[in-house]
Amino acid sequence: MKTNKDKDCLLKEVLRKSSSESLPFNFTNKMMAQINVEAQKKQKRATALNVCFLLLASASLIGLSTYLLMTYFSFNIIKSLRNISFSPESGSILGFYFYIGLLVLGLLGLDYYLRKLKQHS
Amino acid sequence: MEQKDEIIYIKRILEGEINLFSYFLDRYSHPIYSLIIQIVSCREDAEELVQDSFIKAFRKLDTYKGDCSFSTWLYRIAYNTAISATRKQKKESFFIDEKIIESVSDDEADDILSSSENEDRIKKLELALIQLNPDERALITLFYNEDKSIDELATIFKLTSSNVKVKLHRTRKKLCVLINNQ
Repeated sequence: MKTNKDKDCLLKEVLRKSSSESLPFNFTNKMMAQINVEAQKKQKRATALNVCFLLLASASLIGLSTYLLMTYFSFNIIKSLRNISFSPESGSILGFYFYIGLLVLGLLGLDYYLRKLKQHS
Repeated sequence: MEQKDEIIYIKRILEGEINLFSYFLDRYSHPIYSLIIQIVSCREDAEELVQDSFIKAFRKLDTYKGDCSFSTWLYRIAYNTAISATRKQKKESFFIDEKIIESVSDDEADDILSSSENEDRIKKLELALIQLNPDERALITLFYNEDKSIDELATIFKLTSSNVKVKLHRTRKKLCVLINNQ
């Protein structure tokens, strides 16, 4: 049995004619430029959101630790700072801490560099 | 390319291979333009709305779940974008009494819409098409021009399949009334 779609050939023909106009030849290129801009925006939004979450999580952890230390362990930061004293032996320990800090920073930098390298390859 | 392959393309785009989106632009920009031009009837507006539709599709790409074909999903975005634009313009549509539309017999509709090429009939049909609502023009464009099935149309227009059939039937008869009135 013929459906209306098969029967209405005149209507099909007129509709085909009325939509025969086409988009400019460089439409895809123009659109791809817009899509790339949109993708960059999307990525920036995602990065900003991640940073916000990270900051919020860090602030919450610091806040929670401070609250716990002050409430349950009666920790007084001013009192503790006053008790810090520097003796000639503490100089070598500080040097060691400084060395560990530099090592961590170096490893973080290496990790970042290798990740970038992997992304580009 | 099948729906399965298109889903793979979409996954790759979401993973960062943005350039693959050009495949969808090449494949669907013309059909989307054909649909939108029938709704807004202005070349410049239609081109802009095609751009808006693709940008929206790109933004929402992660929400495409594959429960319908990608083209149906894209047509739905394009249809909504174009219809929103026409609502902002608030164009007056041509009103015909429902009884007059119902009085057209199926045979008469078949005869008018299936007749062989006749210059006068073609001109009348072109004019009648302009007088249809944007909704009705979109429906028949997708049905006749883009060969969309009733179920796909139901997804695009958010209607039931039987509602789509009724609308198509009514639009055919409305076209006959508009042709006869000229």
